[in-house]
Amino acid sequence: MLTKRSSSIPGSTRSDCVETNTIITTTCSSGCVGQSENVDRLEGMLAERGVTRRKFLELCAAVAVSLGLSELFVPTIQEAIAESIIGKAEGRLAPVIWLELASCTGCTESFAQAGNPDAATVVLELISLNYSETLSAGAGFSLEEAKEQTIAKGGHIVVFEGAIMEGWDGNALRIANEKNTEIVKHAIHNAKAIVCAGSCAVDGGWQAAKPNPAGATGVQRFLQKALAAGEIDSIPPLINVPTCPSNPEHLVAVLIDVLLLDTLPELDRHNKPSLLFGQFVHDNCPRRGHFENGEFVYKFGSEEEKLGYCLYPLGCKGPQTKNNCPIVRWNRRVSWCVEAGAPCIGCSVSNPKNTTHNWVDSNAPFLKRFRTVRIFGYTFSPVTLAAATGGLVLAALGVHGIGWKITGRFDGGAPFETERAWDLKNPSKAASRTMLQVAAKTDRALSAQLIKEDSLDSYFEGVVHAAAKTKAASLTKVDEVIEAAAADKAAKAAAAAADAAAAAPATSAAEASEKVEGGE
Amino acid sequence: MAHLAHYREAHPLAYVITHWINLISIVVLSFTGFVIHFPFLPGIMGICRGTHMFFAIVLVGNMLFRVLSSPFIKSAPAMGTREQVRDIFSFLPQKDNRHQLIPWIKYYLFFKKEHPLSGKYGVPQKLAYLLVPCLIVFIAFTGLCLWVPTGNWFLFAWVTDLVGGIHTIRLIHYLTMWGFLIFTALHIYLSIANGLAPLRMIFFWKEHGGKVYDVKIRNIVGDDPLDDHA
Ligand code: HEM
Repeated sequence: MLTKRSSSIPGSTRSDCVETNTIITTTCSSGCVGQSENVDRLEGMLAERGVTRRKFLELCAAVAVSLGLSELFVPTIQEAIAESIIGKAEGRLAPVIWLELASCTGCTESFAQAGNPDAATVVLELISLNYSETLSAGAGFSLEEAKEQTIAKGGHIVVFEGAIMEGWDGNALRIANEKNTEIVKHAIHNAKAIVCAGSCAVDGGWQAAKPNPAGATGVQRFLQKALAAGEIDSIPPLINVPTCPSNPEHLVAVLIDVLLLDTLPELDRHNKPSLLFGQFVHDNCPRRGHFENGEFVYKFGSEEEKLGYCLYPLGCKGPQTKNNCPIVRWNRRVSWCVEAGAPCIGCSVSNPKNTTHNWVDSNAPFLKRFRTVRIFGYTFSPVTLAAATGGLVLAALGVHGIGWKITGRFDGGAPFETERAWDLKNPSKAASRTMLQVAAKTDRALSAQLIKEDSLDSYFEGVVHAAAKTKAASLTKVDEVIEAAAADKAAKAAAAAADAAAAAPATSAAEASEKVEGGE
Repeated sequence: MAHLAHYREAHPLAYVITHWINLISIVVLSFTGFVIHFPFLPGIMGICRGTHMFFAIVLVGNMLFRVLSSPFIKSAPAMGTREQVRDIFSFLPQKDNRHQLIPWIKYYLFFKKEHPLSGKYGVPQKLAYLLVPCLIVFIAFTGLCLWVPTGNWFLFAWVTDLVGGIHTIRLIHYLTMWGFLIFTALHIYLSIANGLAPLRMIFFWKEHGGKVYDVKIRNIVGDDPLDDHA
């Protein structure tokens, strides 16, 4: 059972080692540290393969750094590796099966480094790679059978390299005459842990870049969908170790964590080990000083490039990419992209949860500051697009300005309308009080309402009536309207009175008063 | 020549100051933003990054003051009047502007000859101004996704994942800047299109005469040459 780093730090593992193996304290060749029989045996095995003790110790130290442990843990790691490898010989180690899906084999290549084996490679090889298309000596049915047996037994670790291809119902990629989707679902059954090595396994990588006809996707997303659909019962602990290709130092660190120390590294929200992918490349970059000084390379082959200035204008994605490349470096800690003069292309930004942009889509073109955007299948540079839109707006304003000038509106605009167009058509609902008053001439309910508003003297909340402040405000217009309305009203009333006198008495007056109340 | 009188009551001093702060912050943020986007003036990269965050905080604080004070500070709900209401009413639907959106559009497109009657802000203008705090909140949010001290906070990290990573957030932040630039272009054009006199008000708090609008009648009722006024 895997435990989180916090609950099972190597201290406890060490005591496990003590229980299961007798540590014989001998004096090592440098004459200082006691080491176990297992370590001696392992060192013998490594020596046979051309790896010196010093190189092995260096590896253990690198692992300790990658795992965020102090160098004091080097003997623990040394012991754990030795114990596991010897243990494997005795059949006690969790076996690894390494499944290559849609991949370029670059990840395998990256740490196989067959021509010049180093400690990491050899240790990984020695561990217990029960199945690997590229590295296993065996092939064909016997190898497939070994894989089957491993899976049947359970407790294994599956390393995925490459993307899953869901296209054509999983037929986009068939291995040993089986759909890759089925292979994946089968392989993880009862597994102790899953390691997605390289960005393709994390988010589909190059294969998933648009237009992605084969439906490439990352392992985590695929498994989550399969779980939701009830095609698998559970997902074993899953660790994403992106970059293109995967960095052998990262892989060794994670495998040793899971396989040998029996812990699950602390993972971030993308299931990446936070120790490896917690900080921006920019944060630890050796060229960072030049960034701060404002010393940049604008062109390859320039004087600035010779001086080793910052590659930001050439599209370096370091400020947006989280990875500890500047610390762990590549090719057995010799150098890494930016140190070698190449802008970071952000190969570890792969986000297993994102369904629309994988790392290639969100970073290409690699030598430009921004990625491209796609609109209706056309590709644009967002900077050009924005500048073009801005230019278009300016041009439109220019043309508009000519019209504005011709119509003589520049100084204060055209003369005001006398009333709002809508008000003229709907006087009884007008915003303008003048219009309302006109309408009130023929609408008794409205006139009653206006009278009420006037008496309250509040036309809407919060008004401070300060007519006195309004200098030279002539109110003649209103007065005229009100006068006219009053005269009209009086004439109507006289006519009505005459009518009423002529016709049957009283009813119309009663109706009218009701109407007024209803109107309120 | 037909414009309304401009009284200080339309733009209380506090809002003349916030307008200045907005102007300066947006100019500085856009300039430093362009340098950060591409270091065309390499030497000042470091200065620009610090300045950018400083004015980001100024811009957001200023916006918060402008919005939160509007229910308390009084201003005229229309040009050409000294009557005042609580400022927020100039941003809510006003009777003065009712059914005036289409006339405004027609006016701007030369399909209507006469200047529409309106509250202090015409309908399109009011909509544009309401958009500004939204733009500020949006650009500040994307900015805080980019800013290392806040980028890992749950909400920012969640949205960063949602849009596809920090690189995309930078792109969105950059494109939002163009939103500001386009708004500013329109804003400047329209304020000039209605005569230079109103600019003296918003920048230097100087009044000028013109037509008088009665907020009770919601129409123009006379003239105020403002000769005797400072
Ligand atoms: C209001 C809150 C704002 C915050 C918190 C903010 C924050 C940031 C941060 C942290 C960066 C990245 C700087 C770096 O990597 O060193 C940035 C870049 C940038 N900002 Fe802002 N900003 C804000 C407002 C604005 C405004 C109003 C504009 C323009 C109108 C603007 C334009 C830009 C531009 C163009 C970039 C460069 C983007 C790129 O191309 O990579 N920002 N901002």
